[in-house]
Amino acid sequence: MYLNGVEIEDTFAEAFSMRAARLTVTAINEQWARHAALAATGFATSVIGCGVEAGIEGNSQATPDGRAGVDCLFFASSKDDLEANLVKRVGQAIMTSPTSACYDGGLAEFPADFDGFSKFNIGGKLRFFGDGYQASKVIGSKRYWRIPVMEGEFLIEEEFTMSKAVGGGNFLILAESIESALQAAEAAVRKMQEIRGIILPFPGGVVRSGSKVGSKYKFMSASTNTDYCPTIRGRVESSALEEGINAVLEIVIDGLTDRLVGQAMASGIREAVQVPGVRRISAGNYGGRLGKYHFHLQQLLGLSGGEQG
Amino acid sequence: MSTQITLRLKEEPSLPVEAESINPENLNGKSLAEIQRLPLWSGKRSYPLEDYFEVEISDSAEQTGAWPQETDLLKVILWGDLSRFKRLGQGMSAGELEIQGSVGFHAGAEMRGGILRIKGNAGDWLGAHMEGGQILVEGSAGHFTGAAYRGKTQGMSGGSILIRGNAGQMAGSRMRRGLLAIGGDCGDAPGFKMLAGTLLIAGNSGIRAGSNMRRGTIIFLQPIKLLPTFYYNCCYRPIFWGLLVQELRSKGFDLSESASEAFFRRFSGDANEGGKGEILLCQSN
Repeated sequence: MYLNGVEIEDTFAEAFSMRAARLTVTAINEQWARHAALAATGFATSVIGCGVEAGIEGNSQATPDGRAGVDCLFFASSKDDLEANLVKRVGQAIMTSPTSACYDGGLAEFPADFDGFSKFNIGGKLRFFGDGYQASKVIGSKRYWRIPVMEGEFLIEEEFTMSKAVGGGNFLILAESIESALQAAEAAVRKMQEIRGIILPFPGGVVRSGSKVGSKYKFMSASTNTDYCPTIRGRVESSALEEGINAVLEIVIDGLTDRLVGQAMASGIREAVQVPGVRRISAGNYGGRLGKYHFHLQQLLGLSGGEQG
Repeated sequence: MSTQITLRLKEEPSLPVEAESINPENLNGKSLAEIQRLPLWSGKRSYPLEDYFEVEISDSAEQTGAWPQETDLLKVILWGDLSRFKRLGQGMSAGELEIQGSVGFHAGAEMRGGILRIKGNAGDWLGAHMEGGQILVEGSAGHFTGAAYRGKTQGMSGGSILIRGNAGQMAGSRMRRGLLAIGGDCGDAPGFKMLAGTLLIAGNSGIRAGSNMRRGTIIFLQPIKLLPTFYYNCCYRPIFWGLLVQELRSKGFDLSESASEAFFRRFSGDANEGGKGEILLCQSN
């Protein structure tokens, strides 16, 4: 099926259950809040090599301390991974950033009576950096830790909220040239970033080195996605590329709910197909055997049959 | 819509009345006759509640005002000058008790939850040993607000007491946790032997603030002379102050527009008790 003359492959993206938390980072102004948030969400493209997948959602609408703030989402494979990685990242990237403070950003995407929330402790672990001079302050129903640092105090909430979430939603943009593929990916990312509750963890929201499970080398658990590499199309019998496709880019989406991931995928694809030179939209999956969530591209886009648009 | 019980004082009593039985939990589910028969002690005798109050049971109408609402819980409203009624709301843990007038000693003492609104003044020992909930006073309070009774080592251990007017002596004495905010002035020795928690005094204070305090925070928005056992650290803007300002404003406690931008001089003390407590003196006024 086609959308704006671009083939939408009859396939699906396969996504997994993850654990997610939202952190609100505040500082004296937006610039310093963003410095801290960028450091904390840096090197967080894939749980395989980075422990967590993370991204900045955008500026906070309202922050607990009334200062400028940035909301970040973090995804990990398990509760323990999320807690362990966030203790490191908050300690090394947010606490170190001048004037910063860090709060539980909550997960408003879920209903108030949702019973899938759990709490995990970051502030209560980082407090020991205070070497005995740390102090807690209970405000409302929440406990905060005040850790003395060289320019004042680092304030961090004791407990943060985590919930089950969805990681690994994706789609592939197959284009005639890298210029077309990149232009389409950039347009898709801009549109998808308007949606709260999702992140695009790769650089600029785009990944070029998609991977497949396994390798010819025993010590590698994953290797380059040979079926989608144009430079070896003639050598790979199972290549998924037809002649004329010279560049493929992938957009990976993690979201708090499957609805948000599907919504983001659909809006991104609709933007990508507007760019001249885009030939086909596909998605990555493992045959449906590994991931709980399947996002069928044609269903997401409401394509019931025949060429659209 | 929740049930509302209204008690209107018939006549101011000549003797103090022990009124700890008047709280939302105790009245909840009782019939009009049962409420009218509730015993209230005065002197050595017990009198039925109807001797003092006219009782009315109705559905609660939505109300607007500066203080927050908990409309899904039982609400009890008392009308009249209840300055001679002691222990109103003592030990309450849910619902809302609103007093359209002043109250006597021990109001909200040992309170564990719910909201106690006092539109007039409160007597001594307001919220003594309080564990949770909110007390909101539009007038002033007497001595020993949030404090510990004689012989006890810990005063209030949770919840919040917000007073728009003044407070008497030894406010927050021995408090262990929670928030006590005074919009006006307070008497001598606020935060005496304080163990933890937060005490905010927006107006002027008497002498010996924080004497023998071990931990916790006392915040003064007006200048005050401190005891020599408090030593100066630095001038800075505590980040938690921004949270506290938002919390107080959300509960209807008045603070100036620029309050959240304030700088404070931080003192540690009381040195006689280890110096882990802090006093923050606002530098922006």
